[in-house]
Amino acid sequence: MANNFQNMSMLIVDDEALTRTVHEFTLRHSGFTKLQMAENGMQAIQLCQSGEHYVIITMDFSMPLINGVRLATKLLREKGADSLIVGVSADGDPPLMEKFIKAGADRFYSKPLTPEKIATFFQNIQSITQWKSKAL
Amino acid sequence: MLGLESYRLVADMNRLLALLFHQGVLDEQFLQLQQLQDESSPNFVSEVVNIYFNESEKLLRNLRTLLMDREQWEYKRVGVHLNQLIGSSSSIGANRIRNVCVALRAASEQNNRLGCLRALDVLEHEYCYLKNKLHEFFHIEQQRVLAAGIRYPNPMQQQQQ
Repeated sequence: MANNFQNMSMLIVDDEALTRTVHEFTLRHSGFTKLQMAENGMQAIQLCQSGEHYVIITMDFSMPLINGVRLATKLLREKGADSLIVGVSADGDPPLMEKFIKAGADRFYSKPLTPEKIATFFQNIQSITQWKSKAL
Repeated sequence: MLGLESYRLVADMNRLLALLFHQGVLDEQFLQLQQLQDESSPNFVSEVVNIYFNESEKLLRNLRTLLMDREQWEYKRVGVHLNQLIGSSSSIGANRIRNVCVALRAASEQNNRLGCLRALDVLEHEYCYLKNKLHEFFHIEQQRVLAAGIRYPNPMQQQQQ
């Protein structure tokens, strides 16, 4: 994986402690060092509003208070975040993926995030960021 | 020089894991967890699995309570608990448990209470089986670590002395 990606700050939003732990270890094992966790969407919004900038935010769909799709919408459209959004869910069903993509997510994966999924995402990240900068 | 005991225990661990994979109880995600374990986090897998057991037992108790309530059918809360269990089971590679949860969720969405109760019985059975087998696996691993810590004297070194 390209070294310039490993200094990227990432925010992992998931209400399950176990999933947060596994995703954190998977990402650290893949070389990522700047990781922050949030237990729900409200925490994620507060972190983004506090001045922290995350290049990538992964968010679970099924969360209390605010689900992942609504969180993506809030962050991208209401708060103007320019982070890359990765939707995650225990269900990999197409309708849910479509909801995430319509909300502005850049990718969607079924749980868990694996080193292979992370590698695939980052292989495509350059084209995603180029597309985003043109769209803006 | 490592003793034969250590090799025997490694073989036991591999045999147990092979059985669990063959039965579909575990999937590749469990191997991914093992690859994340290293010297800086030597007990990562057992710690993650213990978190899974603690969370799952609460969820299973809640599901039993919700489904036994004849008065009120809270299928939404059943769905919430099941989504959590599906997610956490996927994270550790508990494949059969995950599949039973998916079936239970389908029965719940169809308001099939009897189907839900039957699926919950299967789910509890699968959970107990997985818990017993993984406890056995980690017990053997502990014994292997202890056995590997015993250094047998090198006959060549003894002769030189």
